[in-house]
Amino acid sequence: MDSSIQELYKVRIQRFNTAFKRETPDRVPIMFMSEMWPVHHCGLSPEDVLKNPHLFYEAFEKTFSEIYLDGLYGLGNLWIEPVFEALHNSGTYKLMDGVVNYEDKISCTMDVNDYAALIENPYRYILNQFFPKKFKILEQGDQSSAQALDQAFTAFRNYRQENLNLIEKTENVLGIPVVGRTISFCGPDILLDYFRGFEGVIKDINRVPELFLEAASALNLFITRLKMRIYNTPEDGHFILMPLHLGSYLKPKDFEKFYLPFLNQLLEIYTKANYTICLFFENDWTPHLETFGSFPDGKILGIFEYGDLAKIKRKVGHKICVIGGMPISQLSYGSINECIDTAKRIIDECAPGGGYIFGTDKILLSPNDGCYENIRAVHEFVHDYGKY
Amino acid sequence: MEEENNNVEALLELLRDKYKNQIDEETLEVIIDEMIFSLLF
Repeated sequence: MDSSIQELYKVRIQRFNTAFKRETPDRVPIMFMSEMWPVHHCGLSPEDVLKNPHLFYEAFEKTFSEIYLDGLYGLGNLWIEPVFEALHNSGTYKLMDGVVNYEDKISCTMDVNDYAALIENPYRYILNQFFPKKFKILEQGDQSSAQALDQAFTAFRNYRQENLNLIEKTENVLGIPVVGRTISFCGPDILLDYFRGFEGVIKDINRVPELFLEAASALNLFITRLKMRIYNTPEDGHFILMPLHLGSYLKPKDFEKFYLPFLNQLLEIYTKANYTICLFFENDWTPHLETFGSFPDGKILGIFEYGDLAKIKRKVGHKICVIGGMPISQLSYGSINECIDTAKRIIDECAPGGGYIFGTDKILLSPNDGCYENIRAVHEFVHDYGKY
Repeated sequence: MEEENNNVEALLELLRDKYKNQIDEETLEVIIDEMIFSLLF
């Protein structure tokens, strides 16, 4: 690594890590949250990029030579299309209109009668019952199943290596930290997103609450242990991203019984092991902010899609480092001056005392999620004005 | 493969056997764990 790039990278990591600890860094760090936006911005094809992740590098190199940032929240390519192609099923996601979209029910193949098997042994249930239902090619367990799994493994191994190379190049050549190292979920959200779907989970909470609780508990520990085997060394300036879904749809009484205990358990496990956890509060979490007092002490971050970020920081800033604030709707449709006024207000309200990272309120997915000139002007402004 | 009707756990064992001389054991297990996680998507 070039020594000036090495120094730049080090300063940025330090900037993030200080904010993660809810302390005051030299400047407000700027985290860029995108999936396909840089790809569209550079005129690349999302279809090609999903097959060849090294093409992301071209998008990063061009986009971030123009737009200032301190770090990327992630690479934006969690869904690995070639692996699903090998198993003849696209899974829960689909590339539509240049954006990778989630589709409920498409592959939530778990039946309510499967709870017992899931609770008894999540690993065996997922491998031997859930996957063969989701990927019919694995159902027979014959030569064609073995070949398909082998092809999926090869595709995954290649893609993983491409991703590692992409991270290495983004960090060592461009000096841009990829702060999100991996993604994880809490038990109730796995049941929602991948196993039972929204309708199934809401029914289960009402009709078979004990089974839901036992399954959420089993999955909570299974996935956490799996993740800690995969990402086994916590690093300063980097986090595990955990998108939160079900909690915001539950009424407070149900939230405290069916969601909060699992979230708290994960936070306890990860923070005790010195990991930094970034909770992505999708939807509006304002009704549940009071419960954040039960979070353990540690490096916990929160990206908020909705709510008044200044109020959120006043309420929970003693527990978590707050991320976000800049509405992508304004970045899309506002003028440069309007966007800069908003960015100034956010910095004035959220930066004092540290523990704040500037970012958008939602992920930049499509080209319409933010106008290039506005994003560029706002990031330049924040980099300058956000100096402590 | 001589017998049919292997479950996915058994199919993964076949993969481990096939790749154990090409990939060190720790990396192989991490790749398999990561793949299992990704296939939930």
